[in-house]
Amino acid sequence: MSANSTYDAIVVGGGHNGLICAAYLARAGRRVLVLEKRHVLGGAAVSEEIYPGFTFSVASYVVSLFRPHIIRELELAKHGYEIIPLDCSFLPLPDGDSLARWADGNRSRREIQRFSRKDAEVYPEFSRVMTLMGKFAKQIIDHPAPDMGSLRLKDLFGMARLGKAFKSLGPDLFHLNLKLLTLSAVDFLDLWFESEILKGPMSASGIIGTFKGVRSPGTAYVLLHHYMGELDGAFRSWGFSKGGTGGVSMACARAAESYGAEIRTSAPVMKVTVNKGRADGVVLDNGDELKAKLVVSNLDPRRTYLGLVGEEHLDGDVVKEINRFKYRGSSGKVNLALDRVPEFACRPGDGDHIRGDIAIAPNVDYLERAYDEAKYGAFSRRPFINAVIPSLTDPTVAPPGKHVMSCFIQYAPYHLKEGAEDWPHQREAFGDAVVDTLAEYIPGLRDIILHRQVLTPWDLEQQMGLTEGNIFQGELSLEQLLFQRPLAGFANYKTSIHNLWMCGSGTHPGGGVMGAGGELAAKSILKMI
Amino acid sequence: MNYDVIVIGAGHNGLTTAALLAQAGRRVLVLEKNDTVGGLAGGGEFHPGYKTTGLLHDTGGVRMDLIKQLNLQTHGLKTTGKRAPVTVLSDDGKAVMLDADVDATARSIEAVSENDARAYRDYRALIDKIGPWMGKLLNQPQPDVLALRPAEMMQLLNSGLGLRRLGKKTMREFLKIIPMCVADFLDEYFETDFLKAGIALPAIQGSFNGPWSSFTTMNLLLWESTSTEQVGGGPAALVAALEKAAVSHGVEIRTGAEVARLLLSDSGAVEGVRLAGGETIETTRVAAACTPKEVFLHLLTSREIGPNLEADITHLRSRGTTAKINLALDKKIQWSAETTNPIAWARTGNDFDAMERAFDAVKYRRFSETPVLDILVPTASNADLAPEGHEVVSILAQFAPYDYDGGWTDAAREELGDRVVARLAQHTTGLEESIVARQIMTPKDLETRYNLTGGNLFHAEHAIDQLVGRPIPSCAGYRTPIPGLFLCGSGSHPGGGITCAPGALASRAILSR
Repeated sequence: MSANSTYDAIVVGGGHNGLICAAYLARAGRRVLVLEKRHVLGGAAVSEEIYPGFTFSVASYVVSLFRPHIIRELELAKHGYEIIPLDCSFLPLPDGDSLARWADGNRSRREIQRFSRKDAEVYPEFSRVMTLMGKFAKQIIDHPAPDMGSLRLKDLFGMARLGKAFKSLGPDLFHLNLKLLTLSAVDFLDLWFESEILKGPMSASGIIGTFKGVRSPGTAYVLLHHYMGELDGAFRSWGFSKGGTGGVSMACARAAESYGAEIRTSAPVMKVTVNKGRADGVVLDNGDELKAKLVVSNLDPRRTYLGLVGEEHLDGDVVKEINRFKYRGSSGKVNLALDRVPEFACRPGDGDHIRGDIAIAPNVDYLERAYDEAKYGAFSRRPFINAVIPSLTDPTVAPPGKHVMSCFIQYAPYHLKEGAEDWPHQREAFGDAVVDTLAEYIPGLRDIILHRQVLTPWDLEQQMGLTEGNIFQGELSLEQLLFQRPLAGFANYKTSIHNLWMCGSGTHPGGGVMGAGGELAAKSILKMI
Repeated sequence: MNYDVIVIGAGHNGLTTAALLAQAGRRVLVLEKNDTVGGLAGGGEFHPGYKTTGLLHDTGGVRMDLIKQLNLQTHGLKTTGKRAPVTVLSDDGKAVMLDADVDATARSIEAVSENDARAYRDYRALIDKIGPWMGKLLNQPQPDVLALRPAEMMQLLNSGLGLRRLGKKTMREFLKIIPMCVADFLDEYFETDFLKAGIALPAIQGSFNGPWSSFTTMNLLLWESTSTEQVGGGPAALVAALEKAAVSHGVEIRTGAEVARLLLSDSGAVEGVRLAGGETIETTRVAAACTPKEVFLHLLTSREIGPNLEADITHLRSRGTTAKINLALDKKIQWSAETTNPIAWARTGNDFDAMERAFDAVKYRRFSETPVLDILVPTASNADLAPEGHEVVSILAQFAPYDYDGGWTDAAREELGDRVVARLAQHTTGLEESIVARQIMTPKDLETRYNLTGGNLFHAEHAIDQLVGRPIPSCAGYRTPIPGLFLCGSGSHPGGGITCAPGALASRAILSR
């Protein structure tokens, strides 16, 4: 490629959103180049063989909200997209008991009945109501967010559409939706359930990736994610990608390439070049300059504005707002390569119960205490853990008889009281705390660990370029969502620099492997050019 | 004897509703369970010779239009036209006085931080912009978003446009900060920890929240926007004036008259009340100033209210987190802080971490190691409340649970009192030796004494879902699904505190029927 040739678009960052954005642009006939800093594609949705024979979903480990129309439109199945559904949520308990919730409602009811007859009765009704509200929420994630501060026709239409959807919920659900948006996960679940055994693991899904506790207002709405998941077009909660989460990214990359997009790895971008207020290309770390009609950043807002663009090109108010945008990563990952199947004391064997996700969340107070430690700058000694063992259902990720266990850990606050840069000194202690916690439920665990990869928020920042290790490219608190993600006036994939766009999780509708940012960004761009 | 309306509870809201209805020509009877009027706004002797001016300290939110409408001045009410100064204290002996006057406050802050003095002007400038709009929202009945009656549509549209008229920048700022936690919000302005903590206290007072809980900024803005007055003599003086006004309009008030049941007709409409003594009184309209839970769960049966209403009311969150401690001192309180201004009202807190830790305790049904105190010295402005040279110190202490782990005992209550006194002692000299008596009321005690369900000071927690459509959607707008039954207490819009606003707005709803 000669230096003076011009692309229609350069996408900075080959995460799943960047790749999807590139695929859509290329599919519309645009000449597109994707530049990825690392040697592998995927960003946080990446699979890597960290230990010989063992492939880890290094960061993001489950897929739930990936938009089904993207799969269709980009023909991802043809390019290797394959999701194995998770049919069970397993909760081992310290007293030797356990609860398994299944995709099959009747099976779940029978399990829940052992703890509370009333909760077992309410459970299906809860799922029904949440699914209804999930349908409303999809109106939000599948469209750009209207700016509540704007009187432009487009925004007024957007608000009217949402208003209509909101109204169609009816008075009871309207108010319940208000509760869902503002309550803590625990307060919301208290409206339905009495058993701690149920409220523990259910409330835990409200805190994933946030720097909040299960009793913090504003955590309830994340519960919806469990009722919005669509896999293979059917309502289903979670699944993992065959070959690890990187499989999703690789399918997107192959789709993009099939439409003619060019993808380069090990090509770190240093700067976006800005000429007379307009972005017109990028400069790589190696000094190469590439020109494009527009640039799309898959990086988070801080890295996009203050890193790629630089303060010298920005209005003071924009800099102020970008600095206000909060990250505060709160989670880590511990990936284990295991010599054999880990057996839970409370329910031994390698049955279906451990083929879904496994939560260490025995009760509400346990989770809240884990948060309390993090608030004052320490990782949780007894953390919330959400683990999956994908090798039980996907033999491609580990040698025969061996297994990988991917553990999401909260809390691991980026800002330690000793400072974030102290994480390298605390990394192994953090890993020990996780293994110690798991070993309380899996007595033989320590003996079967062949390899352990510990990723702290500090590591996520260093390795994957996630500011402060936030897995969603910025906190998913209400003031950082919708038209305020990342900042009011410059949301919906535009930035304050002409011809510079954003498509990552730091834009509406936010984080998780759903692809909506990449898709909506591309569609917005195609409307403009 | 036949009454047009019976009001249950002679607190400040009950008396307000009663007085306004009587002023409009209705025959009104107020029934009060306790032997004195006032409810939690009432004062009284807590130890021979020592009186308080009410459970709550702040009268800043009292509605001036109501005071004018009822001519409360002619009944002896004095207001200052500005909020009372409050001093925020640091653990290392510093103090800043937050005054209604921005310049005076900025000067006080300058001694600890020049940056913060400037920031305070910016902060108050924002409040001054948003405040009038928020105040207006709180002084009108809430539109029912889903019913969409034309008048309410207009009102909603007007409110929306009102916010827009503040300018795009202010509007965006408002939408940005409302969901924020108060710690993040104030961190953006100030650098001095104890100042931030002091300013933040109203955001978490009476709530099940710490400074890091989302939406607490909204509570701070609600307080800042409405706190513009001060009643001389505190809530007790307000109640005295309201009582006189009510009586002057012909309201009949019976104390020691506990309502045990609401009586409904066959069609389910209100037809009277039965007192604890068995006496029944006929009426077709009842305005209940007690808590919503008290009304629906104790005065009515589950069959009468039906499963939907029962479920909604049962789920109303009214967790008490505040304890009240009254101290009788045999000499004047000696503050350690170096300050030229006399301290009549003070707040501790010191920093967000300490406040958050204080909150952590209540999540596990325990009280704080180091509670956060809101301290009023009523004798500073009214020496008659105590023997000469003596002092009354009234403390609202956070956090203390309603459902103390293992249940409240005398020993637990005394230990709570010890911690509060110890905390105050850190900011004073010679305190312990000067204590003649102390009264300690846990949230459980507040429930027993004031009928506050769960011990919550506001009848129902101030949270967005309980402020919009307060207390619950089917009972918003002061009407309830029970024909003839109205709500007029802090459990209704715009919520708790010494404002009289729910009582005033309820009277309008009752008269419009």
